[in-house]
Amino acid sequence: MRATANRLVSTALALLWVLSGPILPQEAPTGFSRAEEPRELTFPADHGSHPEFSTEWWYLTGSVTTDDGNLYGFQATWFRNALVAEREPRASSLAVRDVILFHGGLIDVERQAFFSESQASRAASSWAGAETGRLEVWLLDNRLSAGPDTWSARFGAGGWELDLELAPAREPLLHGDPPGLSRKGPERGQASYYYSLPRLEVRGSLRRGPDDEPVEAVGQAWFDHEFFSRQLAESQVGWDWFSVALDDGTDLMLFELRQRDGGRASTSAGTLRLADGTRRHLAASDFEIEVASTWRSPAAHPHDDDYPASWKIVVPSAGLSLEVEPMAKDQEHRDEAPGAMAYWEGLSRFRGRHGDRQVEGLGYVELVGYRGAGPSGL
Amino acid sequence: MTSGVAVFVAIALAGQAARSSFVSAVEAISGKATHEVVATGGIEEGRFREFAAMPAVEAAQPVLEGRAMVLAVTRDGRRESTSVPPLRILGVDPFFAAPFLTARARDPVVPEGGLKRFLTASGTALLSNTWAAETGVEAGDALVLVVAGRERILRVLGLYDLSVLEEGAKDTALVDLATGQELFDRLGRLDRIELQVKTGRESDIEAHLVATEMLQRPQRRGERLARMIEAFRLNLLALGGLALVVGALLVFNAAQFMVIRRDRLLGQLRTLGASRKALLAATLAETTLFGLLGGLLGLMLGGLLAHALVRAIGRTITDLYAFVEVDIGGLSLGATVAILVGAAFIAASAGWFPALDAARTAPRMVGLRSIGEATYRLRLPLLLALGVGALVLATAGILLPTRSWWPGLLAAFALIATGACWTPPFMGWLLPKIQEATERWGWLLPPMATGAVHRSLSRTGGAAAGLGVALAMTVGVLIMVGSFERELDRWIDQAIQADVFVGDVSQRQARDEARVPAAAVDELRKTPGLRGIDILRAVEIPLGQRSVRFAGVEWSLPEARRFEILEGDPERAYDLALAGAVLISEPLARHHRLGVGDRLPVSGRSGPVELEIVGVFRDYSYDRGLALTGAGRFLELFGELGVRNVALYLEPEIDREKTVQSLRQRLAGRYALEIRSNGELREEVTDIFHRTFAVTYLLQVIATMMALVGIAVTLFGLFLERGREMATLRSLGMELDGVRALFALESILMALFPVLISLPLGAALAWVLTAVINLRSFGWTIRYHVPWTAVLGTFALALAAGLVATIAPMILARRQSVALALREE
Repeated sequence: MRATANRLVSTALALLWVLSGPILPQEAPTGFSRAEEPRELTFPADHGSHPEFSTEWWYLTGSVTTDDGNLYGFQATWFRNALVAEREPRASSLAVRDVILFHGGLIDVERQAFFSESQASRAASSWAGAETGRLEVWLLDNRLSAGPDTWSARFGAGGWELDLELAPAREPLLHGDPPGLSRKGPERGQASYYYSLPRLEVRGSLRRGPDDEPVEAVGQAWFDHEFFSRQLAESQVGWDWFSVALDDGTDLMLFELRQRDGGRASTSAGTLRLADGTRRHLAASDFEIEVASTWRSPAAHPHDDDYPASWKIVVPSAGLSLEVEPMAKDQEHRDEAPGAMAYWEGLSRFRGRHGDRQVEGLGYVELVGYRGAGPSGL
Repeated sequence: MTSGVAVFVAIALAGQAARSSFVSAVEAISGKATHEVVATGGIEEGRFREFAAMPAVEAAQPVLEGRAMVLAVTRDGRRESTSVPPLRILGVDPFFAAPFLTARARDPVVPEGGLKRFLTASGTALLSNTWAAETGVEAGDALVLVVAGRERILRVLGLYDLSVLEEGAKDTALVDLATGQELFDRLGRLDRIELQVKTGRESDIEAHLVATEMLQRPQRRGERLARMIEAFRLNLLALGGLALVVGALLVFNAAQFMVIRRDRLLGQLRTLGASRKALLAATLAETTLFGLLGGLLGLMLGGLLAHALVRAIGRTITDLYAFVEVDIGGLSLGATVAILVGAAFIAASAGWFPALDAARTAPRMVGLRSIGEATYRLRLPLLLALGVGALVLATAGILLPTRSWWPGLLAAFALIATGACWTPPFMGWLLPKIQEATERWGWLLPPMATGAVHRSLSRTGGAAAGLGVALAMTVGVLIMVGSFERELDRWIDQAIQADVFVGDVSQRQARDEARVPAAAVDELRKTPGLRGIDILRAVEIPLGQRSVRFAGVEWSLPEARRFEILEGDPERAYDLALAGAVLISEPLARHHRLGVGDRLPVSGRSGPVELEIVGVFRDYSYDRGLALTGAGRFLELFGELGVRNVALYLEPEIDREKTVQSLRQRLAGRYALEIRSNGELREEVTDIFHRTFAVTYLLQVIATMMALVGIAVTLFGLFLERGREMATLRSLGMELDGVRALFALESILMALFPVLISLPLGAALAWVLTAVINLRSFGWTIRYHVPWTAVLGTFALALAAGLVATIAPMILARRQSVALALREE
């Protein structure tokens, strides 16, 4: 559940010196396909872009350990946002239909230092784009692509750079009910096609600064891919999202949609997969998330809310109970641009019990809508 | 004084206005870029990703820029012609622009959804609110532009707050990069990539450049313009300075006159017990006040004059370089004070010596001019020596081996100083000779007149020097313009030979973007009665620290020699150039010290090559320099960048005017082309030339006026002062006619000296202007030509002014009772 795209793309557009008014239409985009019917996802074709939908994103979150034993968490996101469904024929190859946005984040756990970066570009020429039928999405030199056996990802932020090989270890995990169709709002079409690839084996190099030598890095990553044309309901102001691959082979994804009135949307949901591959859709009533502590962003304005900073997650029917602690308090993406939205996306440790076993894992948490206006306040 | 200050102020203001508006126009676009990558013929758009992703690059943005003429505005389906200034079209990428902006919009007026259209729909633009307010264009209107010989529509989506860009760039229309590429037909290309490079990492970028690309500082683009403006400004300031010198000489004279005229009063005051110090102070206060008043009046006049000058300069630069709109600013408080203080100082120092003399003199001696004259004459050797010093300086300025033009200007100043210093000694030497000679011949009046002028040398010498300098300036400028005019006529005759010339209608407003569409060229080739056709393509290429124009020509009539070959074999040079070698213009040869046999480095799309130089030709069209080669070589180097101009030669029996008319009719509506006959183009080139010299003409008029007024005022003063002498003469029996004749003779003598001095001085000045300053700054030689009619006419005017000045004193002399005038003696 990563519906930051609309916000982020419009943030990028807001950087346009000449504008600050509404950029993206408030009404549901017209002319695009909707995530309404169940869809059979086929791979690797569906790893590629789906331009018939207005919005799409590819998320890579994970952690690596370097030669010297340091732990790093990383996040790399490529968003695609179509400005129009059908563009008039244009002579220029730079004519815009889709905008690609890249967000990168790196947490140096030992130093508790967080680096983030964002850049938008038109999907045109060699500058940025997303291929259909295969995984290849890029913005300048930040690129995620699939080779015959392994995937490769290269991206950076604030001087650091990761050059990774990713090996898918398990079948794609389809979210929603029916599998692949993830409902977000009460209305038809307020949904997305959504799947993940947990437990990608990561091997590669990390460079901490432009003048540093790259060091070997090994770890694990979680890949998310989601596409849709209309998703959140008007009443929703944000969400909390959790993903973790536990050391007993369990994969867990949960999202909780928060209502304007402070309540929890009934479409909050999750997916659980056991080590044997058994997959289970979790409805809102199947899990509970309790906030144990909060954290206030140093850049927060008086009207901003505090972020939740640790949680207790319980899935009673699965015998799963987890405590979640961020590996660093401040993993907030802050954009200086006026009208831009801040969000928190950070490496976190999940620890607890699954049945009668102790479990543990590093995962990612995304917190959206705590600062600034909610998604509908664009 | 007033006029001197006025000219100076006007020029200072005009120069300042011109410079500041160019600087801001350049800054507006470059914003915060530290470097930029440019390439001949444009940069391949895919290169942007590579530069933007480099670790040495902090931020990068792709830019397309061009100019377009606005032909009409369409509102609610109605099309109305308009004459608004051309638009600067800036193709930007909103996603990469943010780090380069100097300010952010405070009050955007982009309508809802407008931005999406800006990015996705072709031909959409945002205009500055200032430009829109000035032209009456509103959001929702469509502008009919002429780009590359065709009409294009640009829809106004909304307005942006000008605070986004800097002042002076209000004519900027923002379009998306894609719209820019489509508008200017530069698909797949960028004009430049602006960069913020990390300190000390330039070499990383340089290592990444391909042959056609060049890394430069953003100032470079504006540099040529800025240098041009600076040259203009300094030239003008120098001329203004000269005007000020002349003004100072005049005021010196006037102040001296004021003091001397009242020497009797001063004497009486001394007799009554006034101290020397008090007298000196009173006199100085008076002259200072006089100078201040003159300065104030000058400031006011200067403000008015500045507007005229600014317009003239703006036109010139628009004609020659790029379209520009110049706004005049105010003179700073500091400058105002400086001018006033300067004027007062000049006046005070002018009054100093006579005041000192008057204060020093024993009361009984006051009134005897001979004392003052004696002290004055003693200073003649000093003046002579000063003149020698100035001449040495002038020679040094001329001989200094430099390509900079300011030593030349210094030489011009020094020459003038020499002339001014030597005038009184020259008069002191020549006048007694004339007196003796005329006495020997038994004439009565000429020796009297000569004697009178000689006796008052303290004033007549200064006046003649000032007037001589003023006249010399006039003569110098006359000769310079005359020489250039004549040279240009010859050049036009050679360069403009074809019968019909075809270019983009926007070519004067959007020089670099002007194109004749290929389809139109094909049609032109089918013109009935066509004997031959010239097709010109051109591109700016970097050469050393400058850029030069590189043109590829297709000349179907090789026998039509378009340029005069100065170096190289005139018979073979053209053929060799058309076959792939190059001809270079004289300014290019001089600026870059190139000649026949040397090689011209050119970076084409497939890397650098060196072309053999087979000839140097005379050209006045591009001071930066022009290189010509055949169309084949040009296309091989740069590919098809579009045709700039087409010239048609018709069979002798074909009616030229009818052909022009029918071509206009045939091509109208489909292309936005300007079709001109030979005569029309000649006229236009001549007009541009005259506009270039508009400032010079204006200054020439001012200099002439100052000279004439100076002569009249000085003589008038001299004659008034001699009322007593006249009365004496009349009491001794001289007829009124005799007095008149004496006055007239003195006038002629007084006007004759400036004329005598100004002829050699003006000729030398003109030589320095053409052969030293012009050659150094533009690189072209101009053959010396004296427009005798104009020069002699000026002299006649000077003499006439002298005579006119005698009229009033003569009338006074007639009215004045002899007894009354003598009573004072």
